[in-house]
Amino acid sequence: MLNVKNMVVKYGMFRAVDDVSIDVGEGQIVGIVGANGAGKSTMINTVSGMTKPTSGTLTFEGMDLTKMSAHAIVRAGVVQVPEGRRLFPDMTVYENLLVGSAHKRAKGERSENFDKVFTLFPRLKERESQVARTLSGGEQQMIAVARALMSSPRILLMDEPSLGLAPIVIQEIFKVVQQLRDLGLTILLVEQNVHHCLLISDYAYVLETGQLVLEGTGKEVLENPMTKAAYLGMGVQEESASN
Amino acid sequence: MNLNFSGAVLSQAVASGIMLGGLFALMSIGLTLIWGVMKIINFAQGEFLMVALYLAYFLVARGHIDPYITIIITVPFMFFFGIGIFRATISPILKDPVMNQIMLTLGVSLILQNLALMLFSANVQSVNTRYSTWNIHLGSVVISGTQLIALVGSVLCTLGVWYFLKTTDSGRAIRASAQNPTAATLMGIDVPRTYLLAFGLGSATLGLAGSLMIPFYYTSPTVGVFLGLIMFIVVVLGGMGNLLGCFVGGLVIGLAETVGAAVFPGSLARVFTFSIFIIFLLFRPQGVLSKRQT
Repeated sequence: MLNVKNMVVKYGMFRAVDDVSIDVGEGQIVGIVGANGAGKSTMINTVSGMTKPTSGTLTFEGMDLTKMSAHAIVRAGVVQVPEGRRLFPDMTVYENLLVGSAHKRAKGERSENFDKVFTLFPRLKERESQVARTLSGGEQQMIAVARALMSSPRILLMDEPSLGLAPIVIQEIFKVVQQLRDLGLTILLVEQNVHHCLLISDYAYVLETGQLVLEGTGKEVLENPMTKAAYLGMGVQEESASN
Repeated sequence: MNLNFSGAVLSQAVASGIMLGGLFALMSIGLTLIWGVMKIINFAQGEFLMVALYLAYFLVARGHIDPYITIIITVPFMFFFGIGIFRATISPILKDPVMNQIMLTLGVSLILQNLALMLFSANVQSVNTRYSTWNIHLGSVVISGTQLIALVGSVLCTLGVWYFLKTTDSGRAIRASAQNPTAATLMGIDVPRTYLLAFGLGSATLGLAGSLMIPFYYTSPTVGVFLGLIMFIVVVLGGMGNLLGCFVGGLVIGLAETVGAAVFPGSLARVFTFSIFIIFLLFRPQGVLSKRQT
């Protein structure tokens, strides 16, 4: 569905993403894990059209995303849930959701999408007239996901949805991600929370300083000794564990 | 000093102040909208109003059109005029340092002023319409009918813009782009186009102001200098980007002008207005209605 081939993204001389190829199949959760600065967010922002790749190809169902502007990519169904949520802080929950569904394709499905979103997040229904910035971090993350769902996505790009949330809320968010997949949505999930991410990923890539170092099913990557050592703190060299 | 506190004079001053305040608010909506959405300080806003006043003037004086009917021409004209100026000058420097933007809009204002001087001469122009002598008597207080219409127009325009921003998809797109342009883009909003719309709208409100002012005001190439200054005071007083605050700010400055003129002799009145402004800057720099500083 989404194909990235030999993608290079440079910031000046720095290669943030260095010759990376990934494939996301329909109905899958595909995880990209790695430490801070590995190039994960750059990847997702390049797919979203916020950053342009230096070289490589980027296609979504045959459309060349590198030639499309960021808002056109969203309208085509490639929708990002940005890192740090990026809500419209002075708008109500309801208004945030309306903004998510303002483009033509989503507008026609507005009422169905509202039903869907409020079934997934009943708490947002209770809070719909509250101003977004007054809600808790977990609730704000739910708004961010709900807002993206309102724009009728065909693939959801999630950038660190667990960032800065309490463990119990993180559980909830990952459960939602699985629910969305079960509803038929395709998800590209970028996470520093390696363990959780790999547990629910159908396929996963490990990114290190801009390069792919490992790929496989979520289970394969999770059980790979290298992943255990470097990301899960379970290897022989305990001192090199990060995250 | 000859201070005059007679009740009749004061109530007349308050009535005139409210009329003038409504007018000031109407002039300033565009400036506060443009600042609120894209953080551009448009120093040419006063000259935009000058353009609208000239347009209204020519339509009334030469075209013999009723001043209130000119609205259907001035509003769309100013909308596209604003869009044209934005496309040609402001759009390319949206991401540049603030100082460059200030210099640019200041440059646009000078060009417009001098173009007007070249085309229309330095003469002050005004029109006589059948509305000119229309006065409404409320006891001892006399209200000019045309100024009352401007006040009503100001209230309707403020409510209209507010309603548009609050309830339509385009309006919400404008607010979303103001609050977080990156997130707005990620929600499929074409932010540059939204900016263009907001700038056009901010300019169109001046078309309305021009048509409503021309029956009792005048126009000249430099009329925008003083009016632009008033706009800035009103907008800062109301809290930059705050629509309802803009209306309150307009009323405060309008009242300060007329009450000041009734109480203090001659040009001391202006001292009163600016003193009020300075007091607000010292004690409430975020504006009358703003709850928090942004």
